[in-house]
Amino acid sequence: MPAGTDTQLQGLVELAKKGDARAKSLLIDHACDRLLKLTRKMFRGFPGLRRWEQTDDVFQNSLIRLHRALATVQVESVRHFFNLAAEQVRRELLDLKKRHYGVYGKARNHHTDHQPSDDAGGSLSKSFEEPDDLDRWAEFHAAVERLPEELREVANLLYYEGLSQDEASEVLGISIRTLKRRWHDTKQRLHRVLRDEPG
Amino acid sequence: MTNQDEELLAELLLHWEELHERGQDTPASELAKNRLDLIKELDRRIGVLKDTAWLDNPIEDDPEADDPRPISPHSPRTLSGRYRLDELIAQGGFAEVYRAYDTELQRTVAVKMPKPGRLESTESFQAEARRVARLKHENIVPVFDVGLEGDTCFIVTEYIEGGSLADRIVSHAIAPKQAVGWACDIAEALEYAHLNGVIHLDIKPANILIGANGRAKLADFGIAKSATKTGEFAPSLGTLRYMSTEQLEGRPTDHRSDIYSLAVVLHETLTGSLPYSSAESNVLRKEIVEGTALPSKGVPRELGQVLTKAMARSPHERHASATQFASEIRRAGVSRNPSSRWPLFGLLACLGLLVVGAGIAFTMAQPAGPKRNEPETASLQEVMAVATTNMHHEQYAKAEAGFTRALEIDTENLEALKKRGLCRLNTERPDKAAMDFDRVLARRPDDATTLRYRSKAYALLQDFPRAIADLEQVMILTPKAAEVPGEMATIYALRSLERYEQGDYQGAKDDMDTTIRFAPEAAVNYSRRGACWFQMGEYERAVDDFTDAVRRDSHQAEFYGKRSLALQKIGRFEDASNDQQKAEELTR
Repeated sequence: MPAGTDTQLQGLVELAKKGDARAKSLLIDHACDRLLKLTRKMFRGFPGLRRWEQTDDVFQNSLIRLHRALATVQVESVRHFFNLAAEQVRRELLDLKKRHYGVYGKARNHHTDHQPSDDAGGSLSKSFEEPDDLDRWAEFHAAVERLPEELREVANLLYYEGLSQDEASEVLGISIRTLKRRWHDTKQRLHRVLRDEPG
Repeated sequence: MTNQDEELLAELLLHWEELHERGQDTPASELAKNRLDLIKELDRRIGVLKDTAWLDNPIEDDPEADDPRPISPHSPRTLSGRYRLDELIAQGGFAEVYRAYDTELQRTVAVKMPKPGRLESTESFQAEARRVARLKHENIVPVFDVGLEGDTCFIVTEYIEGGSLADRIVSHAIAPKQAVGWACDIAEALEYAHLNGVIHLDIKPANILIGANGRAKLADFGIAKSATKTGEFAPSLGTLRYMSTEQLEGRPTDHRSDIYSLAVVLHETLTGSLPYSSAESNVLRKEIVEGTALPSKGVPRELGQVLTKAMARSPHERHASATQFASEIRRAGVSRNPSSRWPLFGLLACLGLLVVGAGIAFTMAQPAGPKRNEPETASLQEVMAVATTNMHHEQYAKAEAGFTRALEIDTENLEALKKRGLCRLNTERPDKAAMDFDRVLARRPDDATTLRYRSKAYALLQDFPRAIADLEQVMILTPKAAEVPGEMATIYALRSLERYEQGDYQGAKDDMDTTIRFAPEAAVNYSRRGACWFQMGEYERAVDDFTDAVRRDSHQAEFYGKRSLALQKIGRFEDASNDQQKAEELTR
């Protein structure tokens, strides 16, 4: 599904719940699209690796897995579907990183991009800007995984699924003010965890 | 901290955010002026929200520049009190480029700043930039200003909206004629610079920008040379791929190093691939230093011979000048064109008709009860979803393979056929595309979208009667479709071009009449019809049409130049001279 149609997503979920195969297929397309965009973002500093990813079947398999996981679930509610989709997307992102940039990852030696590796290194303890290497991205995704459910849901909808705050508050059945407060809490907690701050 | 304090902090943070969204950065001390004990904690939390603002940025689709990237926190927002940095539009190993606004002259500009620590001496950088600023050529991005800000310096240049050749290579298949045309533009710029004693030394697609007039312009003159003086500037892999042997080996470089790099760029523009493309810099260096680049099979033979010469290991074996290189590729490009397909692809690409797949919503219903393959293999639905995602992201080869796989599972899947046809259309295989569309239309003869696509395929195959017949059918089926008149105009323009090239000027003129009926606002159509009148010896009418073209677009040197020729033919020498002068001014 092309970007910019998020306002239709809830309607699609309602249709999918009633068994509309086309609606479900479009929802899955949306999740695949988010996975592709997030992967590109994660690999942005690594054009060589990104190119490798996209030309290799590995990423295609990742898309297939995501598709299959979502296709087999029964859509219970808007909230349920988006959380599930976000979690699957996050799992695939972590998996991609682990496979191709882990200690034994076969793309380890593909890190030959214009950014010298010492530039991309460093640790999150120094700052919490947008991650610029795969380790940082992996830490970020893993930290989201460990958030309390209430906060993780907010990150799922706003970041992984790309919903607007209005849409997310509607999906969760909470006021926009409550959503904003939870999003603030999410950011504060991620910041603390990823900078190894106490408390 | 008590629960009440937590509650108050949360409310204050919401309040800060509301104000921030309205453009006010209110300090914690003001927000919590009645609770001095909370100021420090509130200030910290505000800092966290600022640090994590990237989590709210939309994740866009562009693989190179995901979204309007924020200004680096290391960079000031306004330079010299004049250039307001609005958006980071590109960055490489050495520098960052911003879209900026010149508040004095009130125009958009591009600002390039070396990254911290990448520059040894701001003085030498500035001196180099000033020297480059003296280069004035229509195919060189002009330098407006050079300045100092803190301990770094910056260069202000014209902002070119069309993006870089690197973007085009990634997103489109580029027609060979277009590729050769752009390479000639850059060769002209290089010849001029070389004659003025300036060598570029960083010719690569990212440094070639495509202007609004469709011509290629060269950016970043001399910048790389300054950068390499630091001794610590390691060229990026992206740069390495275009470097000549002597550059890599640290031997003396001259204008022929630029010719080598331009040949590599042309190779990539033609084929989408590089002569040397190893993903590891050490291997890549070895390949370049030891090997002689051989053009890939995708390069037409005669053009390949020119490229081989330009990419020779020894500079002495290369072309003696950029002009010589340009004239050889131009000649090879024109002479090898038996099917005359190049201009068609070029024109279609210019008119934005070639890339038709991305973002199109398909309304055809999913076939009921798809036949499934082995249980452990991907289902039809999965294969279609993945292929469709690939197509939306313009990965046409991958997408095509996916749709083919879908058709192996369900041979009559019309959606797969239609989408595969689109992929084939976008990879310049209109014959194959037309076959897919034929199969769809055999089952659904009134599918207007497929008729439009097939019409484009026919146009690319130069089967104009069929292309026109398909579009006429679309006009009957969907009389209000806004795109159809433009597409009809294009097809008649293409046939007109073909007839013109064959010397059938009357036929070409008649087709331009129809083109103008469908697209009365496009200046270029009047100019083309004027050219037909000129060839037919109807100079008064030619002048009328060129005048219509000038009236609609007064910035095209070409229109004035052509009118000048027609005016000379009817003895209006003073008017002709004025037009000639105007054409020269615009070219400058």
